[in-house]
Formats: sequence, C-alpha cells, structure tokens
Amino acid sequence: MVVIYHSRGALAARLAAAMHLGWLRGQPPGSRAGAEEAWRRVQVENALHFEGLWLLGEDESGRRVFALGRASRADVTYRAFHGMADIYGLDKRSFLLQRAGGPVAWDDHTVWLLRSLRLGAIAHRVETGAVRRVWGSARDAAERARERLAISEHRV
Amino acid sequence: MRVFYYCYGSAHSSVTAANIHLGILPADRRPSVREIMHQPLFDKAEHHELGHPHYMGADEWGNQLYVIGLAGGKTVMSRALTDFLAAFGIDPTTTLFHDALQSAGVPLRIGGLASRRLGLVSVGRPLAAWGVWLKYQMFADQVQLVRDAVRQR
Repeated sequence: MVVIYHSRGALAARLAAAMHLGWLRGQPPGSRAGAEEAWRRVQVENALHFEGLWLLGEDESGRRVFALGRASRADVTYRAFHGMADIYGLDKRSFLLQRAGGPVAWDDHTVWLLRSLRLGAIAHRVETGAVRRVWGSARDAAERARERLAISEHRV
Repeated sequence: MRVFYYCYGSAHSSVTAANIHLGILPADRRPSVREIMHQPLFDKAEHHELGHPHYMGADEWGNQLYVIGLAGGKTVMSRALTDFLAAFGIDPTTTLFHDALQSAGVPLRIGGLASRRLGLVSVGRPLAAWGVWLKYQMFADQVQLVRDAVRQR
C-alpha cells in the first residue's frame, strides 16, 4: 500500500507524511523554536521547494508513505496518477492520494526570492513561520488519510 | 514502451508531437496551417481533462503513445509520475516523458490560451495552428530525438 500526501510546494505534504509516520506530534508548535524543530524533523533543507515525489518511510502497517510537492493543481495530480494507474493496470486500492492543503504559494515565492538574494536567514524565518501556518491542515490530512485507510481495509 | 508527450493542456504541443511521431503529420516537410489545424485532437482538450492521459496510437515499433496535460507543474509531475510507477516496480526505462511545450512559441501559447481558456476558438485555434507552423521544424526535431531514443531501447 502506498500513501501519497500532496500539497502545493512540499511543506504541508511532508509535514502530513511525518505526522502519519509518528515523527511529529499532533499539537502545533507553540513557538518558533518548536516550528524549527518540526521543520528539521521533516528532514529537508528547503521544504517549500522540495517538489517531486519523495519516500519518507513505512508506517506501522508497512505502508510506504510518500510526500509529493506538486507545482500543479490537485485535480490535475489526481487525474494524472489515476490515469497512469489505469494505463499500467495498477490496482487503485493499492495507493491513496491525500491532499494536505495549506495555501503557501506566497511563502513559496517569497522564500525563493529571499534565497535568490542570498537572504537565507530571513528565508528560514519565513519557512518556519509557514510550518506553523500549515500545521493544522497537515494534521487534518494525516488524520483523514488514516481514516480512509481504516475504512478501505475494513471493507477488504 | 510507453511514450508520454506532455504539455500544459494536451491540446496543441503534445498532440502535434504525437501526430508527428505517428506519421499523421509529416516529419520531412512543413505542413500547411490547415493540415495542422485539422490534425486529430488538435485544440480539442477541455479544461476538465487536464491531467488525464489520452492514447494516441502505436508507432511502427509498437511503442504506445500518449499525450497528457500537466498544467503548470509539468516538469515536476512528469518526474513524480515516473517515480510513482517505480514505486510499483515498473521499470522506469519502459516509460518516457517528453516535454513538447519546449517547442512552443508565443503565438502558439497565446492562441492556445485564447481558444481553450477564453473560449475564443475562431481566433485562438488558427493562431495556435500558425504558431505550430512557425515552430514546426523544432517539433519535428524533438520528435526525432524521441524516436531515436525509443528505437534504441
């Protein structure tokens, strides 16, 4: 079973995936230090631009948990993955796409601009601020995915 | 092997590239704007079809050709889809994604936008076709690269 959290950019998806794997607790970080710690746990140097499909690990049931930073729309992502599954004969019950949400578009562009101007320290503060902003949607995504997995496994 | 020509909306660039690959459009000469405009699936994709792969046919070596519109994140998504297939044990060398939009010029992009996004088909479609006509050699060259690549596999 493959679980894929996806979000615009990558931050919310990686946070949700990390929560799914139990790396991060469900409570939002109450301080910048907490957000920085959470950001470090997600294990990417520049989470907001870490686009693409990345395997984070396996959960307690052996499901492989991925994070997808997409630069496209969620519906396009959904159709593309399901279309590929149809073409290659993949069982659609063998993977689950979960949108992690969280509009971070302006953070995305701001961080890119700051890093382009070699203002990495400021970019880092923007990124950790983004962690706190998307925490809730990432947590919700992780909970929803687990509910959907529980339902689908119950049906089987 | 499966070849996926992708662009923004799978309406112009990818369709043109696929039709050149299949021999529906010529590779050795520049067709007329009318021929381009009347090629299969040109300027036909709807907005709600973005992301959905469309089968175009098989080339002379049996490779299956598809077109897919990946919207703004096409480069990232093409890599992600390859990784997705690899996660299920599908050999990445049996899949080839090619960015057809790199051959597109401004008239094609404007024409495509006018037709598909703004609904100005009578203006946008001919403009897009003319845009393809202007850059046709680039399309043909890119397709030849893909054909050479799939022939070697």
